[in-house]
Amino acid sequence: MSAENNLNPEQQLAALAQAQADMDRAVGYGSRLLGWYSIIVSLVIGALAFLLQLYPPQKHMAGFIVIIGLYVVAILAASLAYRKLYRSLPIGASKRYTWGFTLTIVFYAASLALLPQQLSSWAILGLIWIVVSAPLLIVGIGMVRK
Amino acid sequence: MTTHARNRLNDDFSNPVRLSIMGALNMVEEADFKSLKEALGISDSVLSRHLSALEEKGHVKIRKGFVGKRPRTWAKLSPEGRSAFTGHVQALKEVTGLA
Repeated sequence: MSAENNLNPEQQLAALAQAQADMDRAVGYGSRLLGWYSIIVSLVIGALAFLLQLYPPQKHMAGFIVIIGLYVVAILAASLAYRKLYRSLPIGASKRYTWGFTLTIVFYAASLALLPQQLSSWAILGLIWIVVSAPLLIVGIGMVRK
Repeated sequence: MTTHARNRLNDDFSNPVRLSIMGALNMVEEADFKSLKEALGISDSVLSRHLSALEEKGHVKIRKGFVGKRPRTWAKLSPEGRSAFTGHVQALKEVTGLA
């Protein structure tokens, strides 16, 4: 059968099933890649939010500036890596990623508002790490498990 | 009187390569040229020719851009293309008795 000849309905359905199975493999690869990338980025941003509480500007201006600088680098690297990794994603994946990434950034910004409190409880600092990481982390785990 | 399913088959998708492209794109938001080519096991020229034909019919939208300094092409189904393809697949299932 030539690849250019028209097919009858049964052949069309068979060809369609084959094409979708082939594409499913490519989609799975793209989804897993972006998923692992999301997990790493979420944990890094969460860790920076955690460290920010340990180095508030009132006490450690140099440390604070370094952490903010690392945050900017992480965001820039995340944006560049996303553009490089972006290949084929299942329907809805990029929207979920955007939501997860945006919420993690918003939570990170919200953690800045806690700096005057000078929190020192490890449990609360750990909670900040988890909360900031959670949106993008959940999206990433969902993509890897797909 | 309802239209028989075979009359609802869309000739734009009867070519096996175009059918495969539509089926593959129907699973994703957008696919880059390389992923699509590798997934479907077809050459650059064949994929390019059929994507252009589907774009002319309004079924597919093609976007060109750069990743770093490298040019890259992405394709996705237009809303009309997705709707037309869904109708075609439904008609195929009815014709073959799978619906």
